[in-house]
Amino acid sequence: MTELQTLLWPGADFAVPEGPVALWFGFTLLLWLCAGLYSFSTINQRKVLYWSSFSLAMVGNLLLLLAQDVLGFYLGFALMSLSAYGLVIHSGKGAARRAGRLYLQLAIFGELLLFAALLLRVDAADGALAISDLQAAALTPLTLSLLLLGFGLKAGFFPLHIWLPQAHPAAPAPASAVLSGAMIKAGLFGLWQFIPAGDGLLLLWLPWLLVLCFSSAFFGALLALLHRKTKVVLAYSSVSQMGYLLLALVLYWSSPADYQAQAAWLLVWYACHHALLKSALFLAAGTASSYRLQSWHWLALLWPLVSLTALPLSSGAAVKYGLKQELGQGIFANWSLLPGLLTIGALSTALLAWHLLALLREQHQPTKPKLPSTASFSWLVLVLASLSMPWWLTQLQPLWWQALQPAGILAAGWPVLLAAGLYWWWQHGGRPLPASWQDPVSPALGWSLWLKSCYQTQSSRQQAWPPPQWRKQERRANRWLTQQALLPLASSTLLAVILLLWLLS
Amino acid sequence: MDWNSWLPVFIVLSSLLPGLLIFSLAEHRFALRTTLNLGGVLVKLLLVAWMWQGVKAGEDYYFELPFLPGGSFILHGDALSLQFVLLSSVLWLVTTLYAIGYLEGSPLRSRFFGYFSLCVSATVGLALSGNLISFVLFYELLTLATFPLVVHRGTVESLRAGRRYLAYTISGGVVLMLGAALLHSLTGSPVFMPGGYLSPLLAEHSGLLMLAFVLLITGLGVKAALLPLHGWLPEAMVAPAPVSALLHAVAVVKAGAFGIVRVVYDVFGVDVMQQLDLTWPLVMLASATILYGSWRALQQQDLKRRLAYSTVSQVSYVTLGVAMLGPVAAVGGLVHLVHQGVMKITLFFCAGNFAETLGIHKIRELNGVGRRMPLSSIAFTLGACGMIGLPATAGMISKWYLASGALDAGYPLVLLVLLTSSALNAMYFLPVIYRIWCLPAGDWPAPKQLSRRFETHWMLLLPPVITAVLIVLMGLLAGTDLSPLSWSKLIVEREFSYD
Repeated sequence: MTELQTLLWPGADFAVPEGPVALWFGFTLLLWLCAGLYSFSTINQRKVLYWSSFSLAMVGNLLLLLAQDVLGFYLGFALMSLSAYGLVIHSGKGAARRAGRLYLQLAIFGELLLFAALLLRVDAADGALAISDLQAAALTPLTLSLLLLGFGLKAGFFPLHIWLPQAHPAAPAPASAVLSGAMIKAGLFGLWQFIPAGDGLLLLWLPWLLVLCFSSAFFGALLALLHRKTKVVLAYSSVSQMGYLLLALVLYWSSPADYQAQAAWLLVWYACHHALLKSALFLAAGTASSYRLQSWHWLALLWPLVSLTALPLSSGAAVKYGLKQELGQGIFANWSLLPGLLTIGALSTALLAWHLLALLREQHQPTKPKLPSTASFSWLVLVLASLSMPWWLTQLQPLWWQALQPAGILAAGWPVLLAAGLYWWWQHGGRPLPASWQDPVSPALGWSLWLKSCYQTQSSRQQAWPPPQWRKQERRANRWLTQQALLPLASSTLLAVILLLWLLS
Repeated sequence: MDWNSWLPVFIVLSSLLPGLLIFSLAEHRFALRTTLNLGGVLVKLLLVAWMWQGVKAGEDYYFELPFLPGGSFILHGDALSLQFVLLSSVLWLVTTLYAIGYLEGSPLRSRFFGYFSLCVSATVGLALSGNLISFVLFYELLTLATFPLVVHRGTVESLRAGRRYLAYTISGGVVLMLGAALLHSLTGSPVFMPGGYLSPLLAEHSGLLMLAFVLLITGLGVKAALLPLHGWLPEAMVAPAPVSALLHAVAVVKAGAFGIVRVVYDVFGVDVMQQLDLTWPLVMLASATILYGSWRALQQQDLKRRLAYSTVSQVSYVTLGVAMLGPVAAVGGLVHLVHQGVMKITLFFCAGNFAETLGIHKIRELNGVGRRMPLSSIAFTLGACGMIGLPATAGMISKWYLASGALDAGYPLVLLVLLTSSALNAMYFLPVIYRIWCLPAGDWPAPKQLSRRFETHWMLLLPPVITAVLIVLMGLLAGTDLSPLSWSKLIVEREFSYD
């Protein structure tokens, strides 16, 4: 659409999404609507702050999915990232403000890296501003690392996750749902759109990215076991799941050309699957901590956990099966370690799920009577969407069927049962963890505090530099220049130049 | 009579004559003074709009009066001068409105508005001057016209600032005149032309040309607040808010920056600049100023002082864009001339509103202002976001063009400078925004009820709202024909297509 360019900024172009992007857009929109409906009846304080941040972040998130040009994408991305700050600090408590500070510091940092990355990409493509035109330009180590860092800070995979376990639990439940469901996916979406598949440099880096995927998957799941707050556990589960999503993306990048479309679909299915279940879980955790749960609520709570552990019949089984299948076909087919790693990953995810279930039951202490019906409804919609994903996504059905075969049932079932046993043993039989291991405090908060002291007004760090002597010299120079020196200096230069000119002529 | 050649003269006179009339008015003639003020602005805007469409169509507006041997007094309306004329006339309108509200009931208003109009006439004249001699003339006039505004309050502090201002700018003016005289003695003062007029002298007088360049840039650098010469600017923030707004956004610092643009493109020209190897020192100087200004802004506790140091940094973006000599970077620098003006004037208006309504001067007193003065706070937030260069604001567009211009012209390190400066901008603006919106209301020093319907007097509120809307519009609608970006592209097209 050339008309938009002459109306908006240079290169501006938006389009109705098609194919995999349309599904991405669809689940994002559904998440925002459901979270909005849930907030409608549960958010009672600081409504102006909440709703202005919520709507701006939503607009940003949808805009970046529609944008076909770099500046439009960047606009949506920044709008989403920065407005989400208002959601994180909504409660106004100390923990939320600390989390918000860390979030905002990293969001701005990521923004700057992304700006540099996009700029260098556009420069490499000779100034073309359409995202599709960037695909032909080769990556350099600098641009690739800037893109990975800039988007990775949003996507929140290890080791760029440090803000995530702080910020997501601090926000109110529906805001955490969109943060974990929709917004971190936007980082992944950026990686998918801006890094051209099949680039030579990218292929060289893929093994390292694979290491990142699995470390993220294990790290998130293990750290989750150390924490005892449900929303923190869920946030770490997001870190872990982002590892799998990154794996799907790595497989997309490494897949041969004829298989690429299928790989792209798998990535979007996985994103959709995780978005629906994680937002439902965040709503569940938020509800369980303050409202009395009815019996059907427990069912609505259980299903996303089933899907998370990839038990048969769930969308999780289908996408995990697809992932395994794809791993066996691409350039990593000879890496015999990988399927084993996936199984260990399934085991750790199952452990996390049992842990979460135990915590939810243990910490169900209702202070308010009953969840408002609109909130229940939106929660139910998310659970049903997750439940019925194989039905309304017909392309997913072959994978779903294959996962339902006896071999698939066995492969998906035993890690969950083993995890149940292990978890029971850990809680009842094994030695309890040392107290210092429980709920560890992230070092990132300390770094954030240090950074704050650099710009805080009247902090000691700011007073110490530049040293007082220097400031005194500066003032003295200013005085000397203005009171004594300038006029004589200027007039003598004038004289000198006139002399010079006279000599020359 | 040829109207086209008289149009630039009328544009200058449209603020000069009302200004002179206002001087003769008695203090209580509020209605007449306001009519003269606003009438002058509207006439000027009409004339400028007429010239704008003419220049766009390729019309030439040229006025010449014999003045010196080898150098006439020339007023010439070209694309570059119109960029500055448009900026100053539009912002003059909002600032006049603001100043009327701000000074309501205070003494010496006739004197103030008289000099106020003189100051704008000098700025517009400077923008329209067609050669170096006329430029120097208006440049000196501007110094003299702004001094009474800086010391308007007459306090010890403002008198000291005024003295410092005068010492800096008069000496700067002397140095500028030296440079101009040196060039005049070599080749006279022909009309500014794209590509410059000094290339014939390059072989014979390269040393003198370099000396002239250093003199000119030093003279202009005083007003443009380049690194060692910026000392007057943070002091001059003791002036009343509309004066600071005008000083920082339109008149003085912009005159310096605009002069640098003229000297680089229309006196020396890209080729001579390259052959004399004058580019990288200017790029270095501008980068150093950008970082130094941002860093010092971080350490200020006083809101207006912080804004003043931020100006030191932001105005050098213009110099930086121009100094890199690439077309894309030039677009960035030229568009920032306008964008910075609109963003900074918004910030100063808001700072003035906070001071007038609640008595707030220090940053730590700003807690919770957002509830009490939402519109001013939104305007301030938008201005600050623009300064950081966040998307959907004008600042993003300038930053994008400057940074891609830096890559284009082969200065990749400038990208790092811009990013660092953005980060520093975020560090000194976001905590302020946090205080305004997220902290509970504190003890404001002197709250006043200036209006029953609005958060403050409507004349104080309307200008920042208008300019804040402009910030967003210039960011979102940068691709339209009316945007400063399109005009900057037109300028660059004309400046870079001389051979």
